[in-house]
Amino acid sequence: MAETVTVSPAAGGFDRYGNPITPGTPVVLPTLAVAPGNTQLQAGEGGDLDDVQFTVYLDLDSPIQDDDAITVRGKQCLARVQEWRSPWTGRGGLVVFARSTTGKGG
Amino acid sequence: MADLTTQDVDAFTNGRLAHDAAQTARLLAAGLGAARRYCGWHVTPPNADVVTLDGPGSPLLVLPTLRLVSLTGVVEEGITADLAYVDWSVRGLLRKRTGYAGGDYGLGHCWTAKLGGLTVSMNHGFAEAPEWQSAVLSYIDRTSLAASVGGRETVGPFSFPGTTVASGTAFTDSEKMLLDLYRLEPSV
Repeated sequence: MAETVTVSPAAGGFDRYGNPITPGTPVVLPTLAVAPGNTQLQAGEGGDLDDVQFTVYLDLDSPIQDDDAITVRGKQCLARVQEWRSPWTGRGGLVVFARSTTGKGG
Repeated sequence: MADLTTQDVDAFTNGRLAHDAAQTARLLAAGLGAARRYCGWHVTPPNADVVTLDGPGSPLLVLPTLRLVSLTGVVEEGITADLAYVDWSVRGLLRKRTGYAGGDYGLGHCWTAKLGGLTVSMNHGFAEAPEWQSAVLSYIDRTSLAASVGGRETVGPFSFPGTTVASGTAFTDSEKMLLDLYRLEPSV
């Protein structure tokens, strides 16, 4: 069974009536793969800095875009999305850089 | 079920092959043609057909079908047979009954041995052949990609495997397995 991530569409901006747009309903997506990236844990008086990165590989038409919240292996991250699409066949996939940073260290 | 349409191809490929594109119609015609040529008959849907056959010279006449819906006419060496004296099966097998008056060539109730000596009119074909249609759609989807890039394709970090076809055919093993369910026995 494929590992899953949870994506919450980003809030932000205003609709045409001037009302703030609320976050969308979280959706659970199966991944093609999840690759661990850099991690950093730095103790500090003002709170520990905890920085974790993942690279998540998804199907091409997965509902995710930049700045969506994505939960990967229990970490709440911010998504940055790259779309790979073959110009000949239309096949490809999404590469999502997910980064979670809490605290400030120092 | 009606014959496959470009709408079916559009749905199967999630819109990659648009139903109103000329290429889709061409690929559909090629796919249906390849599958029907491999199977030896049109398979689906049921329709009226007139075939001219070589006489077997034996009591059993095997029609090029796997689903005979109705037999509408048999002409043997120019003589129209009385169908009341012809037994036929859904499988497409014909035998003469005692009393057959359309001409009795050869021994007993044998059919003529003349090449091209029989003309048969019939309605035949499966009303439903979902496995066959699925194989045709798979073939169309695959060949539409292969026409552009060939086998294996790598797109950034994503890699898509190529497909290998079964020996002596244009179809993969899984497509061939489905088509074989509807294929006539190859003549010797």
